[in-house]
Amino acid sequence: MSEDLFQVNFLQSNPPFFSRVTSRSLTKAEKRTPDRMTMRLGWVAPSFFSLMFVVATPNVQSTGRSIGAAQSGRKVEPGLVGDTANTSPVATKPGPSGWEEYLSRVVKHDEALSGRPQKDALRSMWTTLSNALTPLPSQAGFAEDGVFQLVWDYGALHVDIDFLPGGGLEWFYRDRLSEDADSGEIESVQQVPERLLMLLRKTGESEARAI
Amino acid sequence: MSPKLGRFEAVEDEVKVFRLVRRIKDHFPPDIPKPLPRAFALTPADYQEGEARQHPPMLSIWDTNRTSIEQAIAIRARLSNSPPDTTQQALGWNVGTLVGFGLDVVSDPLDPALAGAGAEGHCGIQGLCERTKSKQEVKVLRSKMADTCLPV
Repeated sequence: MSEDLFQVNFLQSNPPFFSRVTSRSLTKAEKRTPDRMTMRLGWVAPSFFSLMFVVATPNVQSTGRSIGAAQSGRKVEPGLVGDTANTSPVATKPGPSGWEEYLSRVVKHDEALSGRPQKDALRSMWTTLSNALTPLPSQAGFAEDGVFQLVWDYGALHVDIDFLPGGGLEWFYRDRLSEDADSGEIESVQQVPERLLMLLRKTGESEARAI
Repeated sequence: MSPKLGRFEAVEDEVKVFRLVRRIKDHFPPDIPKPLPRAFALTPADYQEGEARQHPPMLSIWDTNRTSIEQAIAIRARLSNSPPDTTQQALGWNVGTLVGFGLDVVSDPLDPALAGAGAEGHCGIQGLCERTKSKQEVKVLRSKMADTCLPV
């Protein structure tokens, strides 16, 4: 995969207003057909305005969360913060100062990554996780033993993925309240266990409830 | 101060211990609120040392009553023949907290002639070995350690 995919896309990170309308405003918009709205306002230009609302409709779920990419089946490229509708405070941080810039810098320049297997694994894993609409990690970094670790610590839930120097991958989950734990190895970054993806989404939802 | 302990004797629950964790520049976010759980993983060198001493491998820590942070940094540098790494962060627990997780904290004094001042405060955490426990058990322990440690 091209490293360009890690570049921040400002437009997609900061989606236009119409893709961020709330469910409440959309409901009102849906009740008004373009023609009725035009008649009520008594001028022609709002027809275009109303049409834009209709176009925006598929991007909004009843919960008010934008899941346009998921509904349309469109692949979400890394860095599309707005599309993934992540619920963590980190995820909602727009602009290049957040996660995307960090990931791009690490993959391109960090000498601590042990070599191509670890870099490739990190790049591919992030693409897979982004496409699966998982939340952004809350922490990441290298340990002294050369392992690169991604951590999702949201609310009572913890998930981490270890990128071993040789290219191997391990994941771990822990619920601090129930003390449930699970773990495993990831044999291929293209085939991330569905259990792990489910736990990552659950972790993000846990934070959303906390907020 | 509690009486001097022999090698591999259990440290009392009330004692506060710390571990030096290398501050790595490339963390996300930069003002990382707590260490990665992986910071408490045994290294291959820890396993080798355990084999050489025919003792379970231990995570190196220090008794705050017997070793200052500066002394621990100096000892680490002296024993590894490298310049002192002053970017290291000291993260601590009460021994009782670690014991509550099922870990053992034992005294492991170093040779003062080799290590210098503060050598007697060296201790070790036993119970993080992935050869005698499952990887998942060890990861749970490391996660709990990351959750409960505080800057010293």
